[in-house]
Amino acid sequence: MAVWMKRFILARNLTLQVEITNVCNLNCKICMRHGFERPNGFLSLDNFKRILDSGNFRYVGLHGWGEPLLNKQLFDMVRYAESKGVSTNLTTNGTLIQENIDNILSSGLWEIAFGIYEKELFSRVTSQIERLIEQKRKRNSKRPKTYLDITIYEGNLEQIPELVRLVPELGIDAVILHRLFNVYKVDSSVKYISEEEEEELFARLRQLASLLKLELYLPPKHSYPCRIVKRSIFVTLEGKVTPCTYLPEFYLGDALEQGVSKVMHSKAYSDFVKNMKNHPICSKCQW
Amino acid sequence: MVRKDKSYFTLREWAIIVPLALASVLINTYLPIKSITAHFDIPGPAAGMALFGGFIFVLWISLAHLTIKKKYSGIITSILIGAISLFIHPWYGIISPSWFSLYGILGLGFMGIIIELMSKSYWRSVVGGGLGNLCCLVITWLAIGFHTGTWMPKEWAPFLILGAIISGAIGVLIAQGITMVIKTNQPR
Amino acid sequence: MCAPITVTTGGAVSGCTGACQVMPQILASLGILGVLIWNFRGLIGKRLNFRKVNS
Repeated sequence: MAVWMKRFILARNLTLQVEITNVCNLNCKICMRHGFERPNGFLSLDNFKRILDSGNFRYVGLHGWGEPLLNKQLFDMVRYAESKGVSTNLTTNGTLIQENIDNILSSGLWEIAFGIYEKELFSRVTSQIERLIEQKRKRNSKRPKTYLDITIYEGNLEQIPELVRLVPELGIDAVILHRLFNVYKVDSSVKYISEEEEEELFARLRQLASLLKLELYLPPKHSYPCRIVKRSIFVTLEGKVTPCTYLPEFYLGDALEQGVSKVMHSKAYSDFVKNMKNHPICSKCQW
Repeated sequence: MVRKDKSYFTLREWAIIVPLALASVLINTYLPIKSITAHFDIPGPAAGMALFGGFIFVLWISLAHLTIKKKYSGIITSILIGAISLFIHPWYGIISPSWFSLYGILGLGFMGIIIELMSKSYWRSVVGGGLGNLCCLVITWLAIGFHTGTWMPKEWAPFLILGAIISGAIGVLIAQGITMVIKTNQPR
Repeated sequence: MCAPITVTTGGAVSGCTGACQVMPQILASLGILGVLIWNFRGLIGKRLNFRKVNS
């Protein structure tokens, strides 16, 4: 499909992903954060407004390479985006839910994912997730929709079905699984699973999901341009526009100076999409 | 050439209906309606349709009907607008229930029916444009309210209902104007 | 942390799996198909009558 046609079809579905902080209270081995040499910081509400207003987006994802709940202005950002008719979502490691329950439920946040990849971390935050869902039920609220977000890698392969089984018990609405990104800056001990193992895992999970009547999202076959680039655009903490969250140092323009829309209509962006297959990082990505 | 006894609309008529429907879909897709209504602090849902439905939908449906001057041309245009829009995006982004988008086709279909039924005279068709837009808006409001629990704030409803009628009426007026200009510029 | 939820769920505000993810497109296709069948109903009717007469 031609680039312009894709742009047309996806115009109304576009997700802006904004890195509202690169500070984190964990140091996960599957995360490429510890490989960066960028100064740590928090995005201000004013800059967030400027970035959001510089394009026409349907969704905004408020996370990047840091824990979003550490940004004190997060829920003001959520309120602002929702007031503009942009649906908000974020992925958290779940460790700071307890002190933010009221804001999570009252700010208008549309979707929240608990990005947990191992049983050990899951058990550490289970009680907080339970409390959040209990409060959500008490308030008879439909928002935010909750997800368990699992990164598949060799080390958690056997744990995944167990984690998925816990989801209906906790009252989490859905499960998202995605492949590992391990092209650069990720701990070298973290390994991909084989294609056969993936097939077997997905078959098992599909069965489990139908048995538990669970909403399950499995990653489709990787294609070019990939679904991240087709559906979203990433803005770093510094306001730099990059085509993907996994390319945080591949700048195509400046959101605060040029605006996101302008960057997305630039030759640099079009060239990137056209030649993505040959990009040194994208060509190795399986996500 | 498609023969008249085999196809209700001729190829020439399709060549008018399809681009007009596409124009409506394009405007509906690219006009930053949400940003405009949010800028003026007008709450949703479907506030954009209420205020700009005349320009986004009614104008093109009415234009198709006035240009082709054949029964059902407006209704078919309106259904096509709904169908093509759904290829690009679910109706108001809602897919729970999965068949929610049916309301989009229904709403626009009824809009087309009303526009056509009311097109007996100049002023009746202007009223028809307003009522058609209102009908589509009410179907969408009820559908969103019933399925997502998000209802239009009571204090805003009268203003938006009035807005929908005026917007729809303006849509027909513009269509009438364009048709008249085309007619007078046509070689005899 | 990784890509936004809407990337992994296909942009759905409220999720569903399987064929229901493409339900809007299915409805759109049915709408267009309905319009086409209605437009060519004369031709289709003739064909059906022809078959009836010959059977």
